[in-house]
Amino acid sequence: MTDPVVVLDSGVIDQAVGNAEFRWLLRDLVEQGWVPMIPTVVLAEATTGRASDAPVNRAVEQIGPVDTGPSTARLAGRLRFAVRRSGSRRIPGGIDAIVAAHAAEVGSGVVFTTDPSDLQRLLIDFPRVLVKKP
Amino acid sequence: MVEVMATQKVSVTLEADAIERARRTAGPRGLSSYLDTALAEKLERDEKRDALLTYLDELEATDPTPDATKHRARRRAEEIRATVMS
Repeated sequence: MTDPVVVLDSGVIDQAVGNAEFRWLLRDLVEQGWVPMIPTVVLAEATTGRASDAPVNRAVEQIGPVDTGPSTARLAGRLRFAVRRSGSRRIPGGIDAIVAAHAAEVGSGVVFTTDPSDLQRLLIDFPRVLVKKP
Repeated sequence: MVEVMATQKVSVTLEADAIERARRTAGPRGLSSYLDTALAEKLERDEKRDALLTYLDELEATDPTPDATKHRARRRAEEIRATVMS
């Protein structure tokens, strides 16, 4: 069985540094064998190219970003299409869909994000993948 | 240029059922190649975990977390685990 993942969305990477409760939450899950994951694509939203990126860069450096292969990207497309087909007016963006796909591919774990609504809709068919705020 | 990795023959003891399943799943790739990939993936996961825990230790050393906050975090982690693993 694959270990559950802890996927970090763009807005929560710096909170691994500055938010003590979230830091201990992460620690607890990782100590129990859960695998931390930062999809490379979230760097497009998490960084600005300025010096203030330092905490994000350090966290990314420690965890090592995970690139998105074709099968994960296709899964992201399927998840987005499923939301659209459900009649939802607001269609999640491509980056959210890729983040969701990385978690869905593993099949169990938690996605931490500052804005759960889109990710929850993308992952509605994956009851063992939770979407939580940090 | 194609990089050739050094290989080494080892003797290990594994569950017979798991070996048979791995052999079937591996197919033409062969059991060694399959186990090599699985081991590399497992190592990568464990190394990521260790790197993050080391980093969190460093952060904790400069910015210690109050016990009440740790307790809240542990409770939340337990809830997440219970839901995902149920």
